[in-house]
Amino acid sequence: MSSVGKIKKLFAKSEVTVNSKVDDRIVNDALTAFDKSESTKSLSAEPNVWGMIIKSKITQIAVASVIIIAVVLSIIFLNKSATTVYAIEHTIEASRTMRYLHLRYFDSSHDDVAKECWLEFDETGQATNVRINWSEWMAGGEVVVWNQDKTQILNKKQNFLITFNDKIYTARVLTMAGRENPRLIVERLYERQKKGEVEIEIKHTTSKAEQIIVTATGLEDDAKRFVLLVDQATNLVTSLKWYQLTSGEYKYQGVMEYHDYNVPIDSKMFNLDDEVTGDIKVIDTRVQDIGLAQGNLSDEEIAIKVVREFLEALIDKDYIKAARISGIPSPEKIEQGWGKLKVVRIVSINEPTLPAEPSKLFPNLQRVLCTIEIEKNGKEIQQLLRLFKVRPVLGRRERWGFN
Amino acid sequence: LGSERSLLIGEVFLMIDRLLVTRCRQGSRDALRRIYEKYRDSLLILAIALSHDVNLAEDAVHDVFVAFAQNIAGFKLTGSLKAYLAKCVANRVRDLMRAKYSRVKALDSQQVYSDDVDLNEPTQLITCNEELRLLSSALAELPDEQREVVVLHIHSQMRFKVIAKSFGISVNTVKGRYRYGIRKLRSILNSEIEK
Repeated sequence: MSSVGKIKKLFAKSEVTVNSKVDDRIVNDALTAFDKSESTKSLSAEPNVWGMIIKSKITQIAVASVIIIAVVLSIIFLNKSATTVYAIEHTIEASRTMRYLHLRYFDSSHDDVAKECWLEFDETGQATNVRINWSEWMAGGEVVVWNQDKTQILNKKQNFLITFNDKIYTARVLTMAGRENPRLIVERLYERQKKGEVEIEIKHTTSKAEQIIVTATGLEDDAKRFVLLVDQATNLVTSLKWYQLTSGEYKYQGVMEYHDYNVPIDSKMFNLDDEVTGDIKVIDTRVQDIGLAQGNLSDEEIAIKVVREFLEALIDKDYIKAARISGIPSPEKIEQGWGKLKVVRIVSINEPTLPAEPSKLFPNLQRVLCTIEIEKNGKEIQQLLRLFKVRPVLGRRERWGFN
Repeated sequence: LGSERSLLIGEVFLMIDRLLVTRCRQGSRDALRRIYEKYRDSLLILAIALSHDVNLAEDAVHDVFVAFAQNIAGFKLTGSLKAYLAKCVANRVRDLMRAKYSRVKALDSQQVYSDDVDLNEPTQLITCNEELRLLSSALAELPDEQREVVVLHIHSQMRFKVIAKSFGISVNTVKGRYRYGIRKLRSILNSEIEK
């Protein structure tokens, strides 16, 4: 059989088993939308009063007059021209005093906010406290707080709070905070403009109510465009939209909205201890031993050992041990999920491989493929698992787990 | 005779879909439910094959059906409903994957606990059989644009011309992506089988 034939056969044999919860969610939401659409349809059948008003001659004359007056006034004011012309250095200067910032990021794929951040900076512009509230759709509603001493991640959906202090994680947070800091963004764009890597266009406005539009377009291989709105009164950036050049046109990707410049943030916002409710499992890798110690084992050897000992714990139904090895905070959760599989024995564990695109947070993460025998409907069947991404424990990189 | 029969069957399917869409537009909730039931599995397989992520696939199919239901009043079916829905799912998967990657790039998997959902997670609400797991793992190794063309052409039976029109690219580009995609997929699948 040809390769296309084999691939077609694989597609033809592909099947999914769908839990009724999935159907309920999709059908209910679709029907709700459908009902709303029906009401919209009936509303649209109502006479369009606005349409009639707009079409009337009197309205058209009135609108034309307003436009003419607006044009004449704008010409008058333009001729007078503003005394000080905005330059990008004004924003750099204005941002120097920034100590606190609240931002919201919206991605083009969703209407809802993707993430919300609260940042505290030192005088050099480096973040000293960070809080990120991820949206449900983007990262399961996780909350992350960070400072130089510790990082906390609270995941209410999965019922855990983890505390750790990890150098690589810290470096990543600082990089992110730097990328989102409007002061550093503008400084970088300014530097890149000087090097001829970016073209910056400034659209001034005479109206104090309007914002200055700064468009920075990457040149040569850089396919990005940033559009910044700058408040005329403060010279601070209020929003940053970014676009990607795709098939000859700049496609909108997302927008960062900046709020509450220099409005002090309550220190409670940067500590999640008070946000822990009753049933949330608390892990602190600074004081608890999660995963297995690597000792003298190579990365590949410890990865295999973690998978083997985890599966053996499942066979023994020792979910507390399985939780400790894996780093999954709740033994109950392991029992609910993995317990259903009824693992009988380990058939094989393949040599670990590195992912195609290595993770910067876990550069030596190992993917472990294994086959287990499970009991299903009274029969013992073999199942291939591709789940295990075994990696060092955050903050305790001499130990390895997979969660 | 065989091809005439399959053409006829194809026409009947199109006609049934047109009827379902018309009934939907007339306000039939049952028709909407039937469309969902008819295409659910095929669209989920498409989304999983494109994304290698069951949660994302579920969200993509969810969003497409909700949007379809929302806009049904003004919807006009010009070709195959299956191809239309497949195109919508492919677009949605692309948007959601881009959002996922931009998040991962932005923080490089700092939210490690939500990031690692795999096809074999036993608590998943959607489970894939071994063929789909193998296929989606192999497809995950292809560049996005090659994967889309291969999956839409083979699984959703969309013609190269239709794919080209949907993505606003030339037919030759589509054919090229398909050729390279198949070549790479063949070598990945062969090495998987050898393992």
